[in-house]
Amino acid sequence: MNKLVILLCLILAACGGGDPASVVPADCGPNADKLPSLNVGDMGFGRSSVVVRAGDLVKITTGDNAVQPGHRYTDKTVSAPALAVPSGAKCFKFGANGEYGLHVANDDATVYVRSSISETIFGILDFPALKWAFLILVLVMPLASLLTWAERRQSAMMQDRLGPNRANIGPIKLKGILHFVADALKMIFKEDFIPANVHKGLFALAPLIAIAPVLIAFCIIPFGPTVYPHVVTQVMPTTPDQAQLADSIRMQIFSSDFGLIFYFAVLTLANYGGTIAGWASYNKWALLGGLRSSSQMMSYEVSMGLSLVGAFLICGTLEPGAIVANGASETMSAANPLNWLWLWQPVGLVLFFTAAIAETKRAPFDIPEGEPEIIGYFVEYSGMRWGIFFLAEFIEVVFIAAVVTTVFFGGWQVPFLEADGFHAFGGWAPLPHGIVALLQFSSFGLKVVLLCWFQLMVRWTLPRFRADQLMNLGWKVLLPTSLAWIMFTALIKLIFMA
Amino acid sequence: MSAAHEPAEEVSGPKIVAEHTTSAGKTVRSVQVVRPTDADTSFLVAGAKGFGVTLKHFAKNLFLPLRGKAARAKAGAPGDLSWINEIETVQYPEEKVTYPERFRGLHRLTLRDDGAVRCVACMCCPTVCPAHCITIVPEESDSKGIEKRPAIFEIDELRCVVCGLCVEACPCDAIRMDTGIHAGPVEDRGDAIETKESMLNRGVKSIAKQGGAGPNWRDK
Repeated sequence: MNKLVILLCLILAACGGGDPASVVPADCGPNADKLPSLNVGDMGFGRSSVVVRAGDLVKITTGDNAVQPGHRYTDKTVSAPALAVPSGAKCFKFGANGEYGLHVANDDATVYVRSSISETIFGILDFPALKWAFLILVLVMPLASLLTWAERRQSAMMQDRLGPNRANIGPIKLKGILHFVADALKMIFKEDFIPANVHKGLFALAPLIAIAPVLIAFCIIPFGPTVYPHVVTQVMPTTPDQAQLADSIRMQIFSSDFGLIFYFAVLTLANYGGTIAGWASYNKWALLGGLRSSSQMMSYEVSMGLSLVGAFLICGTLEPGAIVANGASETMSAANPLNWLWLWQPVGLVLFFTAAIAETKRAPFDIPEGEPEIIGYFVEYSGMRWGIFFLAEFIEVVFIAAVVTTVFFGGWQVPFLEADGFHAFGGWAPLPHGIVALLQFSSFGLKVVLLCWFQLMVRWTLPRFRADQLMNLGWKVLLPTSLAWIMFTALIKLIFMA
Repeated sequence: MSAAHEPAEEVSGPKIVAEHTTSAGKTVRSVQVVRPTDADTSFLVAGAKGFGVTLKHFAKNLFLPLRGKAARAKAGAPGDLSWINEIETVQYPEEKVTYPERFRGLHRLTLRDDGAVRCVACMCCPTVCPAHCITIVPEESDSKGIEKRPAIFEIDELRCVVCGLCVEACPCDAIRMDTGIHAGPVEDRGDAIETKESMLNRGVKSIAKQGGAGPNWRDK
């Protein structure tokens, strides 16, 4: 236990107490473009320092738009002679280009700015790593683990069987939900067998490569509305004042203008997990599975990306949070289900969902796994190493459901629920901000669960494709259709929405 | 086109349209091949139909509460199956299916009227046993008119193939497999060996005549 505490302290020290490496020399000229600038890093997480003088404005630049008015920035370490920035100084907006800065009030000082760490509880709750841990540990992992049980139970229901229903702790049975606990325990305590002749380093690395990108990709998903803690008990006013919006917790870890491109880029890396596992296993069948996995990903990545281009054209943005917040058309409310993209991009929805299911490597696209012929790239894995591949597959199922929800089904929007309550048929039922946020948060979860259910339905209904049929579908059907759909969407946009 | 939807046409194979004999004496047939239509081969149509089937079963089994054969028996009028689900699973330890009358279970040794073992150690059953799982060591019997009885009678249930030939071979109805019990789990191989005592504990008195007197017991 003591060692754990020491380790924790060391990690914290490494994160917080390191020597600032990049000191930007100050230029204290009056011109705004020559202001001393602080780059606090991407994703609102980082620290930097700059030498400033009294009365200076400090320009803060970041890799994304995580720096917002109302966020608090602290000067944790300030060298002599004087404290330059009052502790907890608020960042404010200045300049025509939407830059953000701090006002330095005192004498010359070296200012260290660490973003997104605040002394208030709301600032801590808005910390990206904390939000990520919440999303993964509270929402994604439990849902993915439950899916391992749900898949067997649901397939049983579809085939007139009962499925796993007996795992229990004493009298607590919960319809067999505890089977996933039993499975996890079994896999953890199984022998971790590593065959002779495998490449030991890559063999150990492959499961991590398979699971890490999926967990990272969740950063772009807006899993709830932005919560303003100071108004949770009140109905959100139409024009809220600065005090009410002083603190905010944004239910999205990483909002950037290239959001969905980020997901394409990162999730592709997961495929290396399968390919490397196949190669490192020193097994011909595993290698075949890895190669199949590569070829399948390559074929379906293309259509997957192109099938969303229509959605990008309609919305004019790649940022999932903006797609959810604005909807397809500016003339309608984003909470109107008719303004969600399923109606505007039906072909895009079908194409994307098909390609995305292929991306998860599950039936009817389970060629890389190929249970009847080659078992797949993880044939040599046992115990929890195999379990990680298994779990990664289900996390991908959850992720695909989350992306489809976000892009095509209005994300966290509840039909006709605006920020201040329900607006339908000319009426208005006001609701406090807290209840609205809770409803919207649940709405996202419900949509994700329903889409996961639908993916399991697909998996247990459709027979698997042959490898050549798979390639035919990818290159000869999905790709031309998605290209034609982009042209069609562009034409519609040009004629009716320009 | 409509021919493709006629099941009779499909199973009858290629349809012979014309048949003639060439000058070389060979028969040449023209056949009409019935090919599936686009609607038959389309993945979308077939997939949508499949979804209908699986969704119907899923919804019915999820929302209709009664499960299992016992519950089905309680459901009311026999034949009225419209409102119960279609799950066929028998929840074994709680629910059991009735075994057929001739089910071959664990062996038992039958008893005579005086409670002595009926077996005369004639060695017919170890001789006929294809798995060589029966061990009999005979000893002299003190009963009048009966020469031998088994001192040891053991059956290794792990080797037994439950063929029932021992029962068929027995001339005096001394061994039976009509207990209706199936071999239970054991933690040690030795525990699976049935002894004379354990089989006699399950024993019943046989009414068959012994020693060749009277009519054949099989005629009863």
